[in-house]
Amino acid sequence: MNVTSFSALVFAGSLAAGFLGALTGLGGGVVIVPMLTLLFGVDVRYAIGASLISVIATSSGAAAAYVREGYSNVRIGLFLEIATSAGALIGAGLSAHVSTSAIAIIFGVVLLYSALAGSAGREHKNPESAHSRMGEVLRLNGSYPSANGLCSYGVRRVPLGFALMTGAGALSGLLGIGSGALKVLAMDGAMGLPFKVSTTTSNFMIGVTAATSAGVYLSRGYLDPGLAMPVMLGALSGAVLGARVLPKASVPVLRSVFKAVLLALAVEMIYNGCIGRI
Amino acid sequence: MPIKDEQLDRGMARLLQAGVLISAATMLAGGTLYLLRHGSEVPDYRHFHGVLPTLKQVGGVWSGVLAGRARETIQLGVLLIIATPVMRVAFAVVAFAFERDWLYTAISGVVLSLLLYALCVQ
Repeated sequence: MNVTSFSALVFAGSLAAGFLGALTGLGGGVVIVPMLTLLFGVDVRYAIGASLISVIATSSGAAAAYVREGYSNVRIGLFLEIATSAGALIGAGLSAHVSTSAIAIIFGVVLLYSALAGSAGREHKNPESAHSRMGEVLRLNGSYPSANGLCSYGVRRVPLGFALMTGAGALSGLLGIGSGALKVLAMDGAMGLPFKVSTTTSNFMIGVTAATSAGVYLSRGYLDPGLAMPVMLGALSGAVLGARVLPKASVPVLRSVFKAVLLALAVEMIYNGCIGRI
Repeated sequence: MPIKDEQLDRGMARLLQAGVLISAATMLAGGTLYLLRHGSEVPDYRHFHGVLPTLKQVGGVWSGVLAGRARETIQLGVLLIIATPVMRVAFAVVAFAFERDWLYTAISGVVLSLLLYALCVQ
């Protein structure tokens, strides 16, 4: 396979990953790394580097659309970014000391988790009831447009959300993913935010987390332009399409499709890590 | 205050979009050159060697771009996309300071320092 056909195939795969990633709020990174390593035989370190770049682009590209529509909460995003950026520094620092097989296995476990958490998304019946003192002091409460007009919501269990975000950042730095599943879990599950606000705020934050890791990876030579180009352009095109479709999309159906893909990739990654092929 | 927040959100959205567009255009230009010049070569990503030293720092990338090199032009796109979230956080620091929202000026300031630490100190 020459560079032209390799680039075309990687572009197509990344486009599909970016599209599904933006729609489900889980990001394309979780699919791009296994796709590059398992399907194209790319070394996991190059794959992580290229994935990170696409993660920054898709997050920023899709976030721009969400912010204008009034879904994401900039204050919550910025506050929790303290946790994810610190975590990303730790994770990217660790990656130099962990073997590629171990990274593959950890990646598989995170994928499994993403797939299982992917079924837990739910709308809260009474979002306004989720109030806490910390949420009020930090002014994290907000509102978003819904079918019945502007819907306001509060936050709860802020420290738990903050702790989960540190873990999400560390995994992002170690694995080159956006850690969307963990970020959504922290906001939707722990802090009680409405599902669409969680996914879009997660998308909004992911770019900053990934940029922190990318800074570390740049100096280590993980960022290869020949690979980053088709991955980023493909994933970005997919994410832009995804953001267009989101207000009309049926979230539960998409999540079950994505969940099946993630499960299959998780098993492959863990298996290949265990037999030392990655 | 809600109106100001909305303006802030819109400013951030525009900044993000501009960064992504400029970076994607740069990458597309470099990518076209790259495919024209190296399209028939066989890629090797199976073994990790790390990229050339010139592709690891801003100075090296920039002189490659000036010399019309394809890989360095793509890498400039990579650097621009990394810079986009950094700009966004910097914008937030300034915008919250304008709103006299000192709590969030400080919060975005901490995030910005972490980012700059990762990019410059490492």
